[in-house]
Amino acid sequence: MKLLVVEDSRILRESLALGLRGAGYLVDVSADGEDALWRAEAAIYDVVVLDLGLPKRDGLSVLAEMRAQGIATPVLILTARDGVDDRVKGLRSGADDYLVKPFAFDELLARLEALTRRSNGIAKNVLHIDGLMINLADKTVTINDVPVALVRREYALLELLCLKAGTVVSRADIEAKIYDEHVEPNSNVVDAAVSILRKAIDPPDGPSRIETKRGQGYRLRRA
Amino acid sequence: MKSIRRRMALWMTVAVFGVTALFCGLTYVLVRNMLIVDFDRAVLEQFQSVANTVKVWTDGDVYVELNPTVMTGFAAGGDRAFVVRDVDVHEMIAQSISLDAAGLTIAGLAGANRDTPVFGEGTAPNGADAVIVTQVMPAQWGWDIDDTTIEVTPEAREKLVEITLAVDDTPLTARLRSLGMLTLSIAIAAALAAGAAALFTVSTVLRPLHDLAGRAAKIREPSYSRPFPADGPVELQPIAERLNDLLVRLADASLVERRFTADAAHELRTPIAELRTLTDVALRFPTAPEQLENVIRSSNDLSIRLTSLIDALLGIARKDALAAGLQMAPTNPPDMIRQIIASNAVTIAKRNLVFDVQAPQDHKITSDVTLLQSILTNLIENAVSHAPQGSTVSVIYTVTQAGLHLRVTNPAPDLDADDLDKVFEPFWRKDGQQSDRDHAGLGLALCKGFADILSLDLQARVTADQQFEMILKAT
Repeated sequence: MKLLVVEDSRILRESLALGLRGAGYLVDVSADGEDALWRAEAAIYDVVVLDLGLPKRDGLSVLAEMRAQGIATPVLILTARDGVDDRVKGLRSGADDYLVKPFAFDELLARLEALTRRSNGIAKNVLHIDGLMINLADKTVTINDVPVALVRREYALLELLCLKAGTVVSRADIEAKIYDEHVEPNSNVVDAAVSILRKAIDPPDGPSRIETKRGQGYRLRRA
Repeated sequence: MKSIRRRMALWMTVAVFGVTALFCGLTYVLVRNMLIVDFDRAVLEQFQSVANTVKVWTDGDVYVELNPTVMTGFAAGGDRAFVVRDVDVHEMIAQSISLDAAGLTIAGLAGANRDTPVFGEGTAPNGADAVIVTQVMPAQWGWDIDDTTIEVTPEAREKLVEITLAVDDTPLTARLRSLGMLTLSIAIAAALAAGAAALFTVSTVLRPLHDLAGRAAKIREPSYSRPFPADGPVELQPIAERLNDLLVRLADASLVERRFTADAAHELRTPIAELRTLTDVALRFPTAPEQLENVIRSSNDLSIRLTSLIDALLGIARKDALAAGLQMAPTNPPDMIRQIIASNAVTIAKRNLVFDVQAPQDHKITSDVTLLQSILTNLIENAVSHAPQGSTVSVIYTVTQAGLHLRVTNPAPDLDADDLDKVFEPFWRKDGQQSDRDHAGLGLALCKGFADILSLDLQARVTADQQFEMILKAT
């Protein structure tokens, strides 16, 4: 899962990025409204965590512009404004959830999980695909009840493929989703990641769970 | 007595009772006199009747020709009596049967004369109090009118008698007593009626005031609804209008207070959120010692920011108390300014700012040192914080007829004229930024409040070349 955290407070922005990365998310950060809008337009995020009181461009204006441009990325508003009017205004502007500062980090994680489930059309945090089980909440993977250790990038790739299981995911989408601003992607990073993931999850004597669609991308096979 | 209703009722009762008592008193006196005059007239008529019966013969003998069967009052046991005396010899000529029967007589009144009857008091033949009237007059003569042949001596014609009449005045006394009782009863009844009427009237008249009080009692918090009716009695309309205006002002003040409280809560939330998330994440994902040090340093910065914010909030909250307890003392503002700039030397150097200070060496004024220091510190530190890196901040202090005149100027490319109305509002920041600032957005609000307390004028303006000027001057 890839998140965009838009927050002008340096301490909060860095803490959120650190915590969310620690929870297994790929995180991009932005400190003002104009930069946030540019990033939202340029990249595919699973959720945007958006503060309202931003320099250069107010958070509600960023949200309205995103929706006007047809960007349907779920948005969680994170703000100190706790009035009912503020909440209604935020939700009516196109926000998918609203969290008032100060908040418990666990609650933020729970809300992000709920938002990603809702946006991917799934009801539970646990997905089962042909003996493979992936827990979206605690970011763990098992195959036939045997835990599989994956680094963050490979986990992100598997999560993406599982959420889109049965459909082809383009290389561009994979690149956008599994790399954050801290990584310089190059032409073979996707292939390398797929290769590493195949070694981790494929059965030793059978076809790969990840099917290559030449010129299109990759697809996780359903049983 | 603090009750208007009771006071009005009492005074109305006293007034109505006073008027009634005066009216009753006058009526009593008038009617009493009328009764006495009527009684005296009746006595005189009786006297006249008796006088008409006192006749004189041609030889000068006087006799009384009174028929007691007609004038029964003079009969035995009657309530009136007369005595006729010869003036010349001072002897009784005749008296009524009522006196004879009782074995009494009546003495004539001293001063009896021919011109007017003399009234006095005495005892009637029945023993009751009586009115006595005495007059000297010629005995009745008229024989020669009917018979001109009769010769009458001049002495007979001029025979004088003293007639004394006594009439029981019990009926008069009874009537006067009844009159007195009636008058007193009317006065008491009038007083009671006046009191009741006054209470009723006052209650009725004061009902709108009572209604007004009822409406006031129902008001739980200030509002803009203007609950006091403007179409009430003319006398209460100004009060209703003033109360409505007062409520509107209170509602305004309440709104400002609520907004300030909400803003203060909002301002506190951001650093608290930062602190909580910082520590939540540090606890959830233990980090390397150097990262932990960052967490501690950030927590320390946040605690300093929170302290600064709370100090500023307390400063605003204590503004009224400060105004009440001003401690005026001789002070030297140019010296203060130099010290404030010196204490910010590290930040000024860090931000590569140039300070252009023009101020006299000394200018002694009398002011509250704490408040003035706070104003000057906020104005200069505001310029230090918001002037662009490497720019020039100008501090010009001049002495005018009114006293001090200070102008602090720094470049402010982002500010425009519309912002000037807001720079003194608590928590206002350009672009609504709530974080990454060392200031709570309360400094200029505090300055304005303190300047008002010290009767100084503080104004902000943006010049055509985007210079932000804060001007503090004595008025």
